[in-house]
Amino acid sequence: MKKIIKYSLLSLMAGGIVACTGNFEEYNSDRYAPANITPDIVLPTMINAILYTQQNDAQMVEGMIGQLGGHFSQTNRWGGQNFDTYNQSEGWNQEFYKLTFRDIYGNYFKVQQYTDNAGHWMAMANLVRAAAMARVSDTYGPIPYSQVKNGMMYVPYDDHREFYKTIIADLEAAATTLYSYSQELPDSRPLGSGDLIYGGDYALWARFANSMALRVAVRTADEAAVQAIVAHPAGLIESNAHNAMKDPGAESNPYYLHSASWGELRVNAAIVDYMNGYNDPRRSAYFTLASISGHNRQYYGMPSGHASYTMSTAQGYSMPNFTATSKQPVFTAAETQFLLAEAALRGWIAGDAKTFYERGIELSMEQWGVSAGSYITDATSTPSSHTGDTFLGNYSRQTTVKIAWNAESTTEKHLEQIITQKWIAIYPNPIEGWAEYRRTGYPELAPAVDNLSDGVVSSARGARRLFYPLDERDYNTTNYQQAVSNLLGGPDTQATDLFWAKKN
Amino acid sequence: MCCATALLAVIGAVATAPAAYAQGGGNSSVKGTVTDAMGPVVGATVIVKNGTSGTTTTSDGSFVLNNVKPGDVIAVSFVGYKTEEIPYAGQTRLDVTLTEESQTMNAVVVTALGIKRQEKALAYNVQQVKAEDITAVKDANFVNSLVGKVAGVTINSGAGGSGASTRVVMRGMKSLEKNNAALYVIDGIPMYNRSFGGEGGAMADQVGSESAADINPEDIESISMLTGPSAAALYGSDAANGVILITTKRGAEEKTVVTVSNSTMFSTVTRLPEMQNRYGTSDGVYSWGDAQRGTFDPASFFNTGTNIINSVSLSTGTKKNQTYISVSTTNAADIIPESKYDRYNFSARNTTTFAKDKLTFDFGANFIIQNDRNMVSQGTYYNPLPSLYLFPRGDDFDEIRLFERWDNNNGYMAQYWPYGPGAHNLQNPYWIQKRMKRETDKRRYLLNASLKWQVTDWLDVTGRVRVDNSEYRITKKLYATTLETFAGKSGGLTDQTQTDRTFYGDVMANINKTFGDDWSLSAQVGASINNQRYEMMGNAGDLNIPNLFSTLNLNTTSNFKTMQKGWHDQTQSIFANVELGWKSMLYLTVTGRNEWASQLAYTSNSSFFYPSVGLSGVISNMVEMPKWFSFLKVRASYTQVASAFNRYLSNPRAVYNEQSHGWEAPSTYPNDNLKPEDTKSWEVGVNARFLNKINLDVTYYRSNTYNQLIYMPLAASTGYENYLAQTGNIQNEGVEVSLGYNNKWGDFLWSTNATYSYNDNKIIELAHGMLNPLTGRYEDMLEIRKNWLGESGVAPQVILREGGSMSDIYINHEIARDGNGDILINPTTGDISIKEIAPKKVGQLAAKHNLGWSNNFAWKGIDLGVVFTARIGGVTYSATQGILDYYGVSEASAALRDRGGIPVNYGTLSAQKYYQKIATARGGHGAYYIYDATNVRLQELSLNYTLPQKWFRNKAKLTVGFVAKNLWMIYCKAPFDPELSSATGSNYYQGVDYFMLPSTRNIGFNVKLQF
Repeated sequence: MKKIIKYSLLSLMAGGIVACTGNFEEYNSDRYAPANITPDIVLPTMINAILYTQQNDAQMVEGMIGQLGGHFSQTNRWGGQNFDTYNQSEGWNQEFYKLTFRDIYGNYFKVQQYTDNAGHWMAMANLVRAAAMARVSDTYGPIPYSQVKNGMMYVPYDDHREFYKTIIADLEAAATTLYSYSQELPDSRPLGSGDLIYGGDYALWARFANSMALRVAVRTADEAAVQAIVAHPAGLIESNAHNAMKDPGAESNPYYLHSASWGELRVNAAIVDYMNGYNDPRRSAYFTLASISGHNRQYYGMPSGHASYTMSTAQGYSMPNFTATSKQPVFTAAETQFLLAEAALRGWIAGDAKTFYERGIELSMEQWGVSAGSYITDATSTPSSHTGDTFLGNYSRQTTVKIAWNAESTTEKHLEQIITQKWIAIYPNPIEGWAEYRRTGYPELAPAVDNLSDGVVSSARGARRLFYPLDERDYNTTNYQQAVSNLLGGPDTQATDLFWAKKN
Repeated sequence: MCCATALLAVIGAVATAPAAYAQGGGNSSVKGTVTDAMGPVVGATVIVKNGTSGTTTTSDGSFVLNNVKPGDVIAVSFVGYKTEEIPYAGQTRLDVTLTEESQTMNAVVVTALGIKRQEKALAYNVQQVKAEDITAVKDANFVNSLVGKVAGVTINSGAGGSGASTRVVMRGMKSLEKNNAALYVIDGIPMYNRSFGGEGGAMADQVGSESAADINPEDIESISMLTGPSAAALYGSDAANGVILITTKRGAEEKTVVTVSNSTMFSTVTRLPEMQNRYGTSDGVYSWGDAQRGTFDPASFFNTGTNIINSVSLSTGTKKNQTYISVSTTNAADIIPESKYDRYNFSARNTTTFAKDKLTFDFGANFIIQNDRNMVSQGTYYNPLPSLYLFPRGDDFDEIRLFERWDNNNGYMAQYWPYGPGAHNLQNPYWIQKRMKRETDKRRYLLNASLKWQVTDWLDVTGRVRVDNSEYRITKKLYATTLETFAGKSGGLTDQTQTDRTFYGDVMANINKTFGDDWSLSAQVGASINNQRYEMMGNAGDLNIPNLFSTLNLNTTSNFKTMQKGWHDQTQSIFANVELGWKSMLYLTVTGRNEWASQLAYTSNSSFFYPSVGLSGVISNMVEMPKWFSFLKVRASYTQVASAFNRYLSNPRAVYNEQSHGWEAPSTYPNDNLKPEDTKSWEVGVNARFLNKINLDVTYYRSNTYNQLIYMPLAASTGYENYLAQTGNIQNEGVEVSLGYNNKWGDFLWSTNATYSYNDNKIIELAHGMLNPLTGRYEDMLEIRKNWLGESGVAPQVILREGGSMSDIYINHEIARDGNGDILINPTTGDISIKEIAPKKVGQLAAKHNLGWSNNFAWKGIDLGVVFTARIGGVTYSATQGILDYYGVSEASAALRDRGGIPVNYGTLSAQKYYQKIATARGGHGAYYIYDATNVRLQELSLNYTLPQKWFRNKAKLTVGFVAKNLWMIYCKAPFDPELSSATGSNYYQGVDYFMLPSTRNIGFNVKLQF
């Protein structure tokens, strides 16, 4: 009997240890993460992909690729493989593409699942996706877009012209949905403070969508689209109160970090020289004073396109003038006016190009809190050359484009005026600046002194796009090959022009 | 779960019957224990000579022999020991101490369960390492002392210096994505090995130590290495990668021994890359300048490292109660300034027998304090080597030694480094070590208790629990003017605490029984639970007040990070291990384990079962063998082990972004049809002894791992980084050979043991029939591109292809040539160019052949130990060499300048033009920087002298010795030590040098006093 008790006890001990698996679902759940992935928690991450704030992402995109747009230069040569000498590493080359796709789509699919592809959340997701992907496509060329789908492992690329049409359609649809939402519920802010651009104000997002569409339509010379956009009830980003300005939130303004803090970012000689020549009153708002010998307490920018130099010497060039909490401009009212000016100049819309042009300059001055003075009527000043640079050398600028509208007479010169002033006003937005440079040939950027592309890129014309990411070639091979042979219009190099680019 | 109850109930039923039968015996019976110098001997045969009665000892060495009458002779025998014959004169108690039969080695082995088994019963390969082999040449991490001593194991020392985590892989890599590291089992209980070994890459975080390194080598009694998966039935899936089974010391019976020992080692840097100082600075951090007489020697940055280990232990006890207490200190200062590793071990163990020897209670407690400071492994973060190696050769390094200077404006010492961060986050190397303080403080508590109940003479039941908790505080204090990639203007702080908590408990019935003369049964049936929790919390950001390292002083408005992570894994298992023996010559072992794992929640399988079967035959007992053929055993076993996939895979949630404070969807496309991974392996082996002096063990094995998780990379256009595929068949096939010889000529003794392992890793199938979730079609995946061993598009890349191995590396760029085969030269610049090519296989990282040869010579108290190791095959990549060439600081770049350049076609290309094409600032092109990893070295050398004991009136034993480790690299073609691993946590980032800490040569002495 005693023994029986003994063994029963033993059995119970064993049975007691191997108890139950009832808690296993709880154990296998990350209790520090939300169980449901809802649109309000992932849309802020998607919005980040419209313009990066995260220090490394922003450095890779605006900072590095941005050297090609004449706004920024880099004091660090990172061992000699850089975008402005056309020999950037394959790893760096693919970052912009990979980051944007990653940050947009995983979250986009979640919004699709949650909303069943409808409603204001979906409109926001579509808007953000279109705005971000337009920038990627401006940089790389045709990309997969309309056929991207959750679970699709090999996605075909869109025809480039069709891509832009789809982008415009998506932006316009989003503008319509968000606009009517804001009409019905004017005080509703579904995203609230999670939205670091507009605090969840859909009326402003609708204006942003419409204005982005205008940017795309002008770039692709889509006259009909331009007309439809201008007529859209949502309106455009017309006043500085409408500006899309991104608050750094929990992070720092990246341009501040990269320049004042890291000492790696400086303003490009191109924009400083232009503005010096124009005696531009915005300089004090845009730049810090240089401390480089011979140019102390002047605005003096740093030329890009040099293979190697000592970082410490380059420190003395002017920096972008930001603080840790400065907002990053995403889309401003001035740009809208310059887009309208070009549309009017080309006869796509009614109105006077000159009026739009001047309004653009005024809005920009207002945005930066400076007085325009007689700037708009200055009919003599021309962009400066880069002179007296004992460190990186000089550049003799050829253009004599003036500020005052009436100081020029040809349509081409007016276009140069519009693009030049737009390029100054959108600062810092070098990705857009580079796209417009490739489209119009303006402003006049100094060619790279050291072209390390092994003869691929023409020094005079600069890089015309970035080549596709390694990952697309390796993991989406068939579609990549088809894109290169049928859609890109040339080999997958930095020398191939996109369809909207100026070809000579 | 009811299974466990049922099984134990059966045991209960069986147990009752023979006990009743035994009471009916007429003659008297005798009880006793069989021990050897180290403790109880399990499974020893106790018989009445020429009689019918016999038994075997249980797991605590005790026996009860029935039907004995005065005048009988009781014979106690066990393989490897001299048989003792004792005349029976009516004693009620008989304690026998067996002495080892000389010239017979490895006959008794500690196997799974921590009990000694007769080697002849084992159907799988177990290799024993004695305590002396680990303590002869001590290392802060004892794992390093195992190098070269067993076959079938590849041990890579961590590059981080003393105490750094190691990488132990047995019989090749089996899993593509999961950890391939061997499991540590201490006294029969699996240990969770938290490793700070890192994943590698140029921007890898601070590295550190591992839990295994906490073990005080003086506490180790012996180590058994089970290179195959055979122990999985007892320890669970983690044992599929092989097991390192550690048995710790317990108190001695009826004697008191105090051991005091000191080991002091000095280490100096060796295998530093070859660098130049005869060409000066060109611009920035380049050294392509004019010829000069430079004086800068990077070696001057390194210190002589010291590693001082002191330990005291006390072993005492009576027959009923034994106690072991030890204290040990390990203080290591590395060759890199300010890099330190300190450890303090306190351990106590008490074993007591009570309730008429029916119950044995064993209780152990360990307390470990471990701190490490500023350990350096590789990469460009927290590593002074890039700035040191690339320092422009025309400049004055003495200026740099004054690494901080007073900043009047800010009122603090500011870093002096006029060169900028360059491509490698360059900073003043002294600043990195002195003003970027990376510290890990660890407290670890280990408590274990076991209670064994000797139910009858052939059945015992043991319950064991262990609590193993570690608390860590990990801080990074970055002083103001640290490169602002890492910290704000006023400095930065990362302060995190983390805890690991393990609870393990099991109950096991242990049966040892003989049936008549012919049959023996040994069985273990049990159930276990393993509960593992991890919690981490921390804050990181920039400081407000300069250099006030307090989280209260963190700037919370920008760049502020809060961190929190945690998980909880639990497995519950029931298992059985049954060994049936016939006439001490044929043994059949069958095991099974069913495991419920929390990681399987949210899938269709809640548990998995895996069996094994093994057969061992002692041929020398079956047939008459020639006299010189002392022993021959053949064995074969088949084992299946399943293992759970990683936690949360079946239940993915949003991912937190510490920087933006936002959430994002997971970047892995989910798979809702996950299955446990499955490894099927078999092995056959022979153990033979000749002339009682030569041992030969040979094992052939093959393992295949199925249902592997594969993170299949996806193009960014899918919206995901990868897809969780599951399929594949990875095969490891190999041979382990161990050949030993020992002999004695008068006072002179020589024992030698050579090990050889061969492993061939092969991807039989990658992913055939992988379901595409969208199309519903099955797709073939013929290639997976894994890690670049450095910079994308420059470094070689690991590419997995069917028919290849898991460590095949490919190059993808070469110098461009024209149609005639001449090197293409740009007519205007005269430059050569690098052209992309289809990936071309250049070798595999893993060496196929590993050899170790250890020797011991003893003569009158003088003991000389020599261990050689060799690895043959495999390749390795040095990013460092390419970078040094690129910047013009390598000796190769100077030598080429001396010669005026390199001949190209019919002309000459300057050294700078050449190196700046074949290399980049982030590493050389794979095609030109791959090296043969073959190396041969004198791994250990020890010369000990034990002073004649009569000097101390036989009351004490004093041994003094000279020891050396990694003394002589006999053959090595790589520009660094290819056996160092800078990322022990990665399956693929191996054999890569990216500013890795160079290896060290270590020389020192030992003193050991025993009384």
